[in-house]
Amino acid sequence: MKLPVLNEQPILKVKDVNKLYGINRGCQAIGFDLYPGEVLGIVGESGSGKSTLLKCLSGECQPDSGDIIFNALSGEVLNLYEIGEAKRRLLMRSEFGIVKQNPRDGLRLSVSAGANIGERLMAVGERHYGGIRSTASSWLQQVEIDAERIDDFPQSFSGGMQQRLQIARVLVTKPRLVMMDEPTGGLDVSVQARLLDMIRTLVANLNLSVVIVTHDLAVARLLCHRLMVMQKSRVIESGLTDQILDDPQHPYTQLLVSSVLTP
Amino acid sequence: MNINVQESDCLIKSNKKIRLSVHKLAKVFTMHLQNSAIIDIFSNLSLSVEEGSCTVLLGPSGMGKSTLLKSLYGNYMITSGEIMLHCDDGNLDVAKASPQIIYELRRNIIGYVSQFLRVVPRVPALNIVMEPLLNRGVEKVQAQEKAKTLLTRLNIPERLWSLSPTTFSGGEQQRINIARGFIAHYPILLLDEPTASLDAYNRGVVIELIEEAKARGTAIVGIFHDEIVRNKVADDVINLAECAA
Repeated sequence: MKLPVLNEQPILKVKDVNKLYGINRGCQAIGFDLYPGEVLGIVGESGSGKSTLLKCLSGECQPDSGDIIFNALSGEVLNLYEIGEAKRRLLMRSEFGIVKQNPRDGLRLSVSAGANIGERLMAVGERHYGGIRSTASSWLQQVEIDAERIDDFPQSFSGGMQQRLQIARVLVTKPRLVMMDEPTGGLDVSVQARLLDMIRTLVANLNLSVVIVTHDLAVARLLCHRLMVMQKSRVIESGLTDQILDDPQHPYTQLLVSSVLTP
Repeated sequence: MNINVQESDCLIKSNKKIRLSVHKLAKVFTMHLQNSAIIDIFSNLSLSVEEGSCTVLLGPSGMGKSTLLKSLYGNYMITSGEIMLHCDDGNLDVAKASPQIIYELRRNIIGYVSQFLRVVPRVPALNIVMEPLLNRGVEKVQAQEKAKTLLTRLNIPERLWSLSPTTFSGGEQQRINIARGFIAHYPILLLDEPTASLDAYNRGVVIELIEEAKARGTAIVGIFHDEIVRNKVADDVINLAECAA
């Protein structure tokens, strides 16, 4: 029985990030570290600032102040909003993966499923058509979509299939940090369960670091290692997922947890 | 102040190593939504557990037996006190450990069999049982073999292995939980009524598993309402009613 040794460095460091649209609207005083392989959930009610924070982290929205520091694969330590637009864009389509709540925002509806996946590959320099097609086909299978549908357009897919296609499109470039905004929102529960199982497996197999915004505490419990609870733009409580859900300390967290309906 | 008498005794009577010790532990729940009611579960709890021995927690419901186990696992946040793990190369206070340390502890050092099974829907029983080994990097084939052996021992019919346990009976779910808790060997094991809904035969299997874990040197803290099991496995009994503030 030996003491646990932690020798991994955080992949993402967030230091005192502020982005306010009004008094207590947006997010403020946010700080945390995210480690490789870790899934962090951001929970809280609508308007608490979850999505604003996620947009800051993903490079889509520059904070008013604070630092977001990413440990790149190359070994470089990058301050997300100090590296310049071009480099940030490159990062966003290579080492970052961003999964939108509405798959139609993350997919291109006017091109086939295969092209949706292939496009991201081409964006990072892949050129060989046969290679792209076979990678696309294998990713369709990984997200449990029949590979025969590679030439179909996403419009002909159900909501759950579109969401799985979006995940394939994001993961095909092997991002190291994935950000998801309510990935199971708007899907019926049977589809949710399948998606949850799939996300969990992919996260573990690919050793992804994930930040996931959700207001569904059941989803948070099954997917996240650690939670941050937000209320009125601030993080009011954070810790291990099961500790936050089973022994919440803050009055607002107690309210959130006790308001969940169990069937 | 209640120090378990065994603590001072065992240093003299055995040369077994203490693996877990709890000092002056207090746990208070503040229910902010219910007029800020304060529930004082325990306020001065101390105990220690040696390798290869089983400490059984006794006391009526509501005395904090499960609360104590959950605190030891890092699931509940304690109000004050220390939860020390005594490793070969140093000590660690669980109550002060970061989430990253807790992940490691749960992967390699502390196992926990809870009363209820909580799993992702759709995942087959066999995969749920294998998971703790896969998390340690064990090869899938090897993990699968061990899971099958354990499920067979616990009399889970093979036709159920590929099904999600969400639809299993209470006793079957509990055995899935037990299999998951025993498949990977932990130096410290926390058992919350693992035999509550089992028949006599399966209860016997669980007793065997506990005996084997003790023989490997596992330090166990458990809650067993079942007297037969308790008498078989307990090396030490702590009555929380007597430890209460």
